[in-house]
Amino acid sequence: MNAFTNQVKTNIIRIIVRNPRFMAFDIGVPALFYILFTKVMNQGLPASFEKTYLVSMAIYATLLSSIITVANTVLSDKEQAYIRFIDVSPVSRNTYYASMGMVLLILTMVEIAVIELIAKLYIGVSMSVINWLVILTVVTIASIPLMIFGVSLSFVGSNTIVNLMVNLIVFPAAILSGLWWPLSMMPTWSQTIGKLLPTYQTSVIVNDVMKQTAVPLKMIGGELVWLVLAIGLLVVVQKIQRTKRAQ
Amino acid sequence: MTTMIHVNNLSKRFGKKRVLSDISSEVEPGEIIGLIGKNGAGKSTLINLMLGLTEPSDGTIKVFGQAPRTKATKAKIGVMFQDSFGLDRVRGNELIKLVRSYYSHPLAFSKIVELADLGANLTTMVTKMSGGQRRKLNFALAMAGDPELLFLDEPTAGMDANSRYDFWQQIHALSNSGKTIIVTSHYLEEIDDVASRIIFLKNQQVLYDGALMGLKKRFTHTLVEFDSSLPELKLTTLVQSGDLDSHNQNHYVFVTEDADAVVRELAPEMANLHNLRITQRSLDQIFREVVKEGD
Repeated sequence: MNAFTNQVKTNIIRIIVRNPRFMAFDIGVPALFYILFTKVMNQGLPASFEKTYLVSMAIYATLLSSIITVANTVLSDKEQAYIRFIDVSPVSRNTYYASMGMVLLILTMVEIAVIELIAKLYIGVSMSVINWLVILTVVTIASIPLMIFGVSLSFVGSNTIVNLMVNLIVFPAAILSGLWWPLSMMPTWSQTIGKLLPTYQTSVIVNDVMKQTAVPLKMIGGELVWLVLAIGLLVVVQKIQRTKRAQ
Repeated sequence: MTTMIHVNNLSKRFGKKRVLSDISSEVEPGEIIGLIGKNGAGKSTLINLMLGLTEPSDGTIKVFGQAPRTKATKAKIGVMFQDSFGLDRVRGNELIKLVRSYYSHPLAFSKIVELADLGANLTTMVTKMSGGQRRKLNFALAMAGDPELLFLDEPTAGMDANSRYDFWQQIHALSNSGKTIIVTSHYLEEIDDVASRIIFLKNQQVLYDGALMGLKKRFTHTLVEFDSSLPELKLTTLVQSGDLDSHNQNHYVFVTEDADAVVRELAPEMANLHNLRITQRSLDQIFREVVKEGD
């Protein structure tokens, strides 16, 4: 437990407190998008757009941190030979990953809370406490499969390859799942792909729960499938790593 | 006392390339083992096998009587790898605190700080430290769990002369306290000073495994060195009890089993010889000779 607590503490310092790039990128970009589309380019948009776009930008922020921050942190730890040190010390990689997951969940909640504060205080969005909490909790929980994908991505190769892969995944996923602009504005083929993505499914779940309509079981099922896929991919990647090491 | 490491008929191949072939050896508590061999001889691979970071192709390895990668085994070992590890945006003292927390019976924080010997640089970000500072920090971190068995792979690479001297003083102190140490180094004269036993790897196999004196006895030749402007032919004609080992500018080195005889043979030209020295071979010289053999 002591090792886990210390690992979490160290991760908070290095991933959140001393990482201004994270603040600027993971929070700044979605916050800027949110302000831009709700305050500046908001002609002809329904009032409910401020709420749905808040959900979209909260998900977008977690997409950035779960994939980009996780992949880059694990990659850097691998390149700094820190993961190899873990392998010869009495703590397990699971402790390392669990502490990383814990810190990333805290990070995700911070991101969402900051964007919510901007929505409440600057944009003037008004909704029940429950709904603010729904966004905070559901989006945070839904970021778990994304984080696991982030870990797997860190093992695909060198820094250049990882960053290329990350960019090839994050930005198309954000666009295709309708986080930047509504899915209904996209061609049918891209809507079909978009609806399969976990980020789209999260936005449907959050919006439906907020509207108190029927529980979107299909979307929850879809998220669970993504979780299983993410875990499966991580297991395969780790197995390939072990085989490579053994050879 | 229990055997620390038991290696039995160990072989390792990477694809079709054989790196180690049929290695068998045992390491007893308190031994300081110098693992030597030229680059690519398989030293780091052997260490990685002992650490369980890679699997043997054939044969077995037991560390403390168990498979290398068990939690119980890892709690009793310390490792300083050839390339230093670090952590982004973390200071030296913070990394020490973190690594200490991995072990149930760690060394005191102050003791680890003393081993790291980084002074004010202890609070520098690890990734901003110089290569030598990171080596010192990595050594201290290898000691964090107060290990019984210590692996040091090229520990002094990147350290300045003073730091290297201090480092080997610490290793002497550790050996006196009964730690078992396996060390590889390119600075063979340093291993010469500290190792109680040498394992010499060549052509994927153990060429020699035993006390350092035994290795020296196997290559008992003595060197007779001097400076002279006399031509090589004259000196080689004069010296019958030894062979010319090298001749660079005016510096001659003869290798012999009877240094007295060589000096007697050189006596007529003594007035033309300067800086005459008779030396035993260092581990470094033996190493170069053995490595050359059969290549």
